[in-house]
Amino acid sequence: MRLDLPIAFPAILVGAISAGVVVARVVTAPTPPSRPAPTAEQRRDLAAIVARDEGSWALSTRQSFPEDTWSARDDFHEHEMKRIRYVAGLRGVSVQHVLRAIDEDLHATPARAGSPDTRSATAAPCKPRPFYD
Amino acid sequence: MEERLARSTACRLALYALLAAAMVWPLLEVAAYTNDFRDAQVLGLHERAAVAAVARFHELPLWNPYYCGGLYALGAPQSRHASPAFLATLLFGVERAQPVIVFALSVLGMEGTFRWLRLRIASDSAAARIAPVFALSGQFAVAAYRGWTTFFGFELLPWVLLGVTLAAQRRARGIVIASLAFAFILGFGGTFAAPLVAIAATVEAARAIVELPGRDRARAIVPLVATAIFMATVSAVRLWPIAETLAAAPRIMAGTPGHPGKELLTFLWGTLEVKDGDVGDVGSFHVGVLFLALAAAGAGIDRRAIPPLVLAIAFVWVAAGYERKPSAFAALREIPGLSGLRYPERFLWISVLLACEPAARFLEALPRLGETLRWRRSSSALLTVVVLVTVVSELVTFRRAALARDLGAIAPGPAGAFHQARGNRWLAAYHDGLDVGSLSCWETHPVRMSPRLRGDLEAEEYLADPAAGTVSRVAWSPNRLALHVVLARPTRALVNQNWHPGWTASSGVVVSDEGRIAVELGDGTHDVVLRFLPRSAWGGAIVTGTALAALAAMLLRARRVPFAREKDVVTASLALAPIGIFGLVLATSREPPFPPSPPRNANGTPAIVTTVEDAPRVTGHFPVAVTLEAARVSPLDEVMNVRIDVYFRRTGPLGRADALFAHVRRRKDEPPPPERGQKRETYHNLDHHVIAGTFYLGDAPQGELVHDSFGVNLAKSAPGAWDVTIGFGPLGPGKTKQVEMVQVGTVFVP
Repeated sequence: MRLDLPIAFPAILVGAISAGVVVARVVTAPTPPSRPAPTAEQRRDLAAIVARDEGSWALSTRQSFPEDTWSARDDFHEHEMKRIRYVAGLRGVSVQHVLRAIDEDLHATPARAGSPDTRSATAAPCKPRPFYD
Repeated sequence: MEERLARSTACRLALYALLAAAMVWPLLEVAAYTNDFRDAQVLGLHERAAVAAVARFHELPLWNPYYCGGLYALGAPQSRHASPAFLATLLFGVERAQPVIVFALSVLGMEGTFRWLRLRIASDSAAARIAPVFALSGQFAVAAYRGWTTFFGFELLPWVLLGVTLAAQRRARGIVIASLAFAFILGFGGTFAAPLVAIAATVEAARAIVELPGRDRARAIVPLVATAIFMATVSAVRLWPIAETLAAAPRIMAGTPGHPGKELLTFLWGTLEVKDGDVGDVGSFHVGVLFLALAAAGAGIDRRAIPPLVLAIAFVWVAAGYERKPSAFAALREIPGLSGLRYPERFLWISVLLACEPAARFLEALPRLGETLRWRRSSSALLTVVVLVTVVSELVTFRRAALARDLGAIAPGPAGAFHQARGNRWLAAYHDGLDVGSLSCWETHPVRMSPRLRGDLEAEEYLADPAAGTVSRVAWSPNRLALHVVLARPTRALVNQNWHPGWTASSGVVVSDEGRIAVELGDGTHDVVLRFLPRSAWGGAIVTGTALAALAAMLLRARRVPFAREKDVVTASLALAPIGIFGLVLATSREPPFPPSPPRNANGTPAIVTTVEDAPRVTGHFPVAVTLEAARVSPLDEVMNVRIDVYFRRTGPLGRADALFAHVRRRKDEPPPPERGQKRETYHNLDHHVIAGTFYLGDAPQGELVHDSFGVNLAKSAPGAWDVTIGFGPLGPGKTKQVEMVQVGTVFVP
């Protein structure tokens, strides 16, 4: 294929500039501002706020999805997600901080394989429902 | 001049780069932010796990320990790192790479559509002007909104079709193009795009054969079969793991999704709106009414535009799903391998691409209808404006969707020792940097997860018999785990992750312990190194490598030579070589099989049993080949749920419409329900085709005892006695009444 230089050269330039601008803007896009990390005490407080309603979520999700372990647990986590976002916004911390606080709270009382599960900490194997209508 | 500009690849790419840059422009300013949409969370986590494996641990991204208790990353249908686009992710980071990938794929989509159109459209200018319509269409705006970056793999659909037609014309480069494009789509997470692409490619192949002169038609078969083989073998490194995963944990797609024709039209010409945190269906495939008019007019002006328009309409028929009788979508679902098809409206994607051809025909033909230069120029200019309006409306649609996204910020966290956490899949992306795995899991298929995994353990590695000794972690990375074990007596060392047959140990034998990774060890001191390198990964890589080498050899020999009649043996050898390697790997590898998980009900109980447990015997006569053996209705629990267990056997063939009927009805002799308050319900219909959420009633293993367990909540039900009745028969309007229902229990609602 013969290159039609009078046309190709400016075109290549335009294409390269377009791609270059995209890459440059991506690279120089501002990094999101970071939020201050909560102290250990604040994390305990964050975890306690989230944990407060876990019991009622566990019951209500069983009502919404009777005999469907994964769906109920997934619904539980949706409740939890809303609470985490709310708490993160309220306390001015990041979602990651709240997740970390919950994890630390769950590990504060280390469990063994056969320990009772009072905090929905065991896995609920993913079994999506067979409908996508 | 117009034709000259359009003929220049550099000019087209410049134009397409400008359009793609305009499309991704609203993504650039916030490129460092994460898309907060729920699906984007999980898709992002898959990519982050792959980046962590490569950049932090200097390993191949084979095992993803950060999600669902551990997943085979290459076999996860929603991961996208098995494609060249992953290099952009490594270079720019997960968030910042996405606009770059979208930009590049959009340019490829436009150029691919141009080249595919040029197979049948003589005018470079007409093809070049229409080409952006597909690549910028509304579903890509939806994909950007929802963080479905994987769906931009669809931009390569025209390349697949281009390759198929070239292959039918016995051009070797057609095989190369189709194979590489398909492998990219699959490697880029297009597991759900792949069946659609395969269907479109089949239709394109049939069309290409029909278009050939009669004497060449039979000769097109060999290169087309070779194309199909190469499409599968070049993508083997991804296809094999996915096939293995889905075979071990298949998902059934029931339901009868569909859309009326008028509704589908609104998908194409409506305005995409964001409401309640998601985009609506209207405008979700936006191309605009002007483009549809161009496509329709193309068929009116040039008879050659009729076949592609008919095909485009045929795919609209498929997109109508079960709404249109007979249902082409339902027929496709009956084809082996396509039973999992869903979201029929996605076939509109193929319709849009096919409609580009009659639209381009119109652009080509209309100016030629007049004889004056003025007519040609003015009609051409007018049509260019029409296309421009279409493209601008698509760009506006994309911009609207992009700007409406909820965005979040993820900060790198302090590195620590990896452990499983309860996690939250709705916030999956935010687990980045926390060095935890989220047991909260959502995937598009049932995941082989151990129910014994925990997110609160004191140690991630422990002994089945804690008194037998000690185990401590020496080193950890996604694909490798080193343990120091001291045992006074034999036991199992357990790892708080899911088992997969690809795990091996330097000492002891790796087994599945209720789905967890476990190593059988004798007494004494052991330094155990667990490694994950499944056969389908290394074997798939060898098959892919062989297929690429065979493709290169085919190209080197000449453009047409491999398909000269006397060279069919060479062609066949080159195509079959990767399959031979695949067979060799299968025959020589000692990796244990990844057996399908035993079918289970949604509450975790087994769906196939050998004996009835604690349930009264019941019998009934049904119009289908099913024998009811027993059923149990449990009393209401503390949240007013009632559990129903049904035991039955299939004794003969059943149809897809046959179902289990379950009715929970308040007795008629009870006093009328209260007129006010929440407790007013008097009937619950629990009829279902899919047993245990796992298989259709007609697919239940014949002769075996099937256990179907399900429940209903009666918290809003009127007080009194409720009867539970069961039956089997064809499910459809009015058909339930023909079935004798058997009472299996009574519940008393307080």
